[in-house]
Amino acid sequence: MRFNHLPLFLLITLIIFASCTRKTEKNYIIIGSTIDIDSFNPYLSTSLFTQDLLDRVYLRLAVEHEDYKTFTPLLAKRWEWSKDSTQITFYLRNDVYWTDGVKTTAYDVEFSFKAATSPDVAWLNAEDIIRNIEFVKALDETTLIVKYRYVYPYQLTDINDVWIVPKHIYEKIPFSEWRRNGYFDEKPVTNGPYKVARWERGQIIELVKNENYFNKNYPKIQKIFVKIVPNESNLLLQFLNGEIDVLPSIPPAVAEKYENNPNFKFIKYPFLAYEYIGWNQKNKIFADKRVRQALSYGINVDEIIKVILKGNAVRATSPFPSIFWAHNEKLKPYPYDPEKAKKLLSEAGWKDRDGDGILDNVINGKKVNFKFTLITNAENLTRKEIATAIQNDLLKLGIKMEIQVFEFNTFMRHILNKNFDAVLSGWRVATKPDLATIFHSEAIKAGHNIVSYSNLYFDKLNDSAAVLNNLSEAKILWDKVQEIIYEDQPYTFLYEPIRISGISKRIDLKTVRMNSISFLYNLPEWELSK
Amino acid sequence: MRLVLKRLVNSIFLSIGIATLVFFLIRILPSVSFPDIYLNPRLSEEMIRKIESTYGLDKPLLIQFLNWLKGIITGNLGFSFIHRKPVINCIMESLSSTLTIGIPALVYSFGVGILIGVQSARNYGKLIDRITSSSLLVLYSIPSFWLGIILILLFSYTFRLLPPSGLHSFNFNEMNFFEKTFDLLHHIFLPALTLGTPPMAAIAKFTRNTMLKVLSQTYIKTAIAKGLDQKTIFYRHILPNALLPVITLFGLYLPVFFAGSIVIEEIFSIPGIGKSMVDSILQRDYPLTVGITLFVSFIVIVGNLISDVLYSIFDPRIRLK
Repeated sequence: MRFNHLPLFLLITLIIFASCTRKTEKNYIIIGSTIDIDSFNPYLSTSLFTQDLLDRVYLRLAVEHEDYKTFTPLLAKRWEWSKDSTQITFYLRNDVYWTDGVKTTAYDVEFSFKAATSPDVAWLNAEDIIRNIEFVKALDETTLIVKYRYVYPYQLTDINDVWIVPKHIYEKIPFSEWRRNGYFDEKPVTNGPYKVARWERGQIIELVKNENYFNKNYPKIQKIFVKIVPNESNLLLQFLNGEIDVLPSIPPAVAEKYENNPNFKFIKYPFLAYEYIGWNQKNKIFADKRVRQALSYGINVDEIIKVILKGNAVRATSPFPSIFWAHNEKLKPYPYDPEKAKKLLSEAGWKDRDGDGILDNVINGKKVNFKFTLITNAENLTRKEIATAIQNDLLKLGIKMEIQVFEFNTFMRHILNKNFDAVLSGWRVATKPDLATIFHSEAIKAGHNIVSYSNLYFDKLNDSAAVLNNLSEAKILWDKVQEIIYEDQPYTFLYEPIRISGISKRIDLKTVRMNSISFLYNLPEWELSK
Repeated sequence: MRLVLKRLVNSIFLSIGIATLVFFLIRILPSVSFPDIYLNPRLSEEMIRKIESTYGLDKPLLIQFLNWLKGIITGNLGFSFIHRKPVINCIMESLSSTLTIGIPALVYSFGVGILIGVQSARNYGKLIDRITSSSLLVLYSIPSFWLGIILILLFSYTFRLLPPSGLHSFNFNEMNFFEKTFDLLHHIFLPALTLGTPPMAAIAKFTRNTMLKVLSQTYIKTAIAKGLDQKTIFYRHILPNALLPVITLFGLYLPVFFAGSIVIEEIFSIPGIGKSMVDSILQRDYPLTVGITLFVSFIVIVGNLISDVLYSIFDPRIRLK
């Protein structure tokens, strides 16, 4: 019977297929990712992953260090400050070429600045640059002047944020056409240690060593492949299987399970971000500061970190993460103290008067039960678990919390319209301290003050701290600002995530540095294991 | 012939109707395009408005719809936000990947499905028939995303026989023709298997039932009574009659392959129509979502038309009216 031979036939076919795999020498590494990059035009990219990758193919003026304060020369050999500190003169290297053979000059930087600040390009980070930098001018091929509107602490950070793109290529398309033109992605012209050899959308990105790179010692590894696999389980299996060498982010439970596997290693490092619950103060329940404090006392964050995150997080106390220089170390996280929470709640008038197990209060002459909805986004499984844990904790206080989970775009729309009671979300933190965008009362109408927090004292202190040029003096003000936020608890600060990256033993671990700036921070220096 | 033309014209209008529905449905949801940009708290309102106006999102919905309709009539499906290319180019690029998986899956599900169905009916009532029938039921009810992951776990992780994702190896371009063919087969095996298995089970069950129906017909009894040999009875009298209804399944299962590709392409990382569809929805790339919907619904409607035509050709009793 033919039918009975079918399994056998399939098996034979499989074996033939399997034996056809060619063994080639591995002088490359493969990085795995669930998402593709958006574009090779840095001014159009939005995702962090894209920027991680673009930083390996485009050169910046200088290399920013992990402390977010110091810089070492890269495209600029050295730089000089003017006497009044409102001007920096950069002296560029003379030996950097674009991959099409044209020299990288100060005119490229001047053009790039124009692009960065053009409203037609609408670059996402343009705001600060437009406000702070007056002009950028190339004197000759290697000399560049940057003139600032005033003196402030992050002058180097700002100009270094500007991506340097090849003028002779990018000026072919007018700025207003950039967002509607795929031209820049066809054959990217770059000047970094790696160059783009291939980009098959949704499949593979191939970076190869740039033979004309000015530093002949780098990069050490000839080829970098980025393999895009949207399905997380599949991607993880490929990493565990040794088909992928680097995985930027690994779930804590997986890292715990495979901790002693000899084939790969997990690198843990802090991330400039924090997770929080925002209490929408347009909702009368959360308008009272004592209620918000009580909620912070009533949520067992330590337990969440221990059980859900397997210890891979640091408790957050303020909107500046603990690795950031402006962070106030004196603030201690709100301890889990249900008794204190109950006391604060009853001080604020929340008592269980009708005996239904739910606290109630009279607001504006109307009886209100302590009931609200917490929203979060569906893509983040950890958040969903945490929301359930919080629900349990609050129920013990007599607070009824519903959980509503939205797909990301819908979630964003709810947040922007301030259409929620409480939100579980996270922020990435900019490398310049400034809390105006999320807590300033002016940011309620236009900005990201999604919880409508308003404290005039905070506004004043934040504004003066942000422009203070002496960083140690600014630190004193920042400490004060954080104390106000700590006292007011517009957010309940949950934790600062720790990123876990997986890396294969094929790569010499001694040469690898991953940090909060990028998991590919020193990619050109990586070496394969001997 | 005129009837076919008429239905073809109808199907164009039907597709546009469906796309219109999708156009409005996706906008009813409260959501934002380019969610990533809103994660940046330093982004000003002015920039957001600028970006929205670049893509025509600042105009009233009705104007946007009229613009889109005008585009459709002139054969322009619009412009994709995320790919920065005309929608039609995006569809054409991803179509080949979808077909690379879809055609083998189609051949597999119909070929193997009919084969199993016929064999199962011939052994009706025996142990082997009962085993196949119940396993078909299991295969039919397996969700394909789960099947996909299990197959990857088995063939790629445990046995290391087949690649777990993508359409070809990294060094594909350096290969000669035979290596390329093998490499491709190697890569499409698992996704095609995952995509084709549930329909295969359905087709097998359907074939088995129609076979059994035909077997109980009086003309078969007549044939046996006439003393015709087994082979002639089977190939001349049973098979053609039993397979006739299977043709209708072609039209019915075409949408299943496109719908299935949405799940399969995500799991196996294949840059096809399904993956584009998911990406476009997640990023709220409206023109691409609507464009793909228009395209796929047109294909499905035409597929149904083709299966109707085929049916009328093979079965003289039925004529298109």
